[in-house]
Amino acid sequence: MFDIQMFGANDTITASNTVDIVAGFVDGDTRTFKVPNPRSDLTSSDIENVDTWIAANNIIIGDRTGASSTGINSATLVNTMKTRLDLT
Amino acid sequence: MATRTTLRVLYQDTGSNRGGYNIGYCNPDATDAQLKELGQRLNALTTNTFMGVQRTDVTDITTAEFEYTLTAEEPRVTEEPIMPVFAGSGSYDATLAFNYELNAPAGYFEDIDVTRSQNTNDFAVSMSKTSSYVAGQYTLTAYLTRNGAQVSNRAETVIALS
Repeated sequence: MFDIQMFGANDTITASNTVDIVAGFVDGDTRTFKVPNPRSDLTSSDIENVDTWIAANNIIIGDRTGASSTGINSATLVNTMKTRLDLT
Repeated sequence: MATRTTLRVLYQDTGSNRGGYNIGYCNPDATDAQLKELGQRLNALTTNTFMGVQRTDVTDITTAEFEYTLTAEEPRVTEEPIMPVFAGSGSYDATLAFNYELNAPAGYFEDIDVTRSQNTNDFAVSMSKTSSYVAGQYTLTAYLTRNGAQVSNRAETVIALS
């Protein structure tokens, strides 16, 4: 019988946070960009303000046909924890 | 030539580590100030310190990839209005925008107007000489864009005024 030890003394644990923003385009294309280290007090209103600006200014264009942006389709806060196991 | 512009936002995190993330394709007509504002607005969602944006413009100089071709016809200059015609071949739709550049001093031409033939997809640029024009050769260049990206060749014609 073996005991499985999840975290060894020499394992390395790293954590990262992103807000994954999905932008949409008039031709149906979408694109996700990951913005690192979102504020802990981030609200949907903050995202909607960026959404409004992106939709109004036509700065981001689609990959497929260069279509105009329709703004932000969704935004997701993503917390990732990685454990690098020490194999030595 | 078609130009593609990509954008990367640069930042420094609270641990003084520098990094960046890609936004992807942006409108090549966007100004540096607009791209910087986009970076600043995204950075305001974070705890990072904004370090700027990195703009990359890539110009494709191959010649056979345009979806629309314009061919300049010999302009008639002896009668008013002068009406250079650019014959078009390709699939036209309402997302295409016709653009022209007239290499002539301001005030030499007036009443410049663009019309498109519904049947042939030809474009005509009509214009009149003003009383202050000077004899010489002036270049009119036409091309099509969609959402700021060039989708045709640049066709040139010379308007010779005597």
